[in-house]
Amino acid sequence: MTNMNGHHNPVKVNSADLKTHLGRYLRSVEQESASWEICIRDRTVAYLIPARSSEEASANLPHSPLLALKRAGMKIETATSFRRGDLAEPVVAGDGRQDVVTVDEMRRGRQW
Amino acid sequence: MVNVFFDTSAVVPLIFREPRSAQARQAWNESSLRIGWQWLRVETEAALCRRKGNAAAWSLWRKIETGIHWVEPDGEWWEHLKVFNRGVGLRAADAGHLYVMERCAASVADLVLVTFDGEMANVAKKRGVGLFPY
Repeated sequence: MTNMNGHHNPVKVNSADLKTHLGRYLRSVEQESASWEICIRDRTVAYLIPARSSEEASANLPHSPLLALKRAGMKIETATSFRRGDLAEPVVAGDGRQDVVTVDEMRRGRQW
Repeated sequence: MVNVFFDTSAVVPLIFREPRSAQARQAWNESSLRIGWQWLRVETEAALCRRKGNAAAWSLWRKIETGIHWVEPDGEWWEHLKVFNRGVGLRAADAGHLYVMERCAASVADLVLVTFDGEMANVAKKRGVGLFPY
């Protein structure tokens, strides 16, 4: 199964067809890096895109902010991790101080 | 969830415990799309060196680095930046952050700036740039 569109620009698939042939669609995503635009009565409700290259795929989706940035002349190095809430707590700097606003200090040092 | 553009002043407190660390984490956790100008990486690593960051600090930075989309305008954009800053009068790199933010905001809906730099925040506000609400 292929989306017949170079695997990046998603092709529409209705939810009933997806439900019936879910296995095939998932295999096309996994093996062919296909992307699918899932619709309910011609209304787009979701995208099915490869997990391992989700950032690259999302950059190719219609209305994607990253695609919009590329079109606006931005060079983009895409993030590889989007998980929220998994960031460790900040650590104490080597000088032991917690009252320092580092960037303020740095910027104060270069007024120009 | 919001789309955010980080200034260095909002990233360093994610690494080092600082007075604004809680707000920086709030911005990180409430963002669905994170963007930063490439120069932020140079500034942040300078901060790590100057504050003598340990291995845990560097490890945390590496993780943060993978969670941000790094952008840089294509082409001869320095000329545009010079003209831009004649109107705002910020320090050079700060002008760069704000200029790139405004370029991104023209394409990304509801993009807000996350900065703890008072001067930059004031200029941004005057120019109608959205700021992350704390």
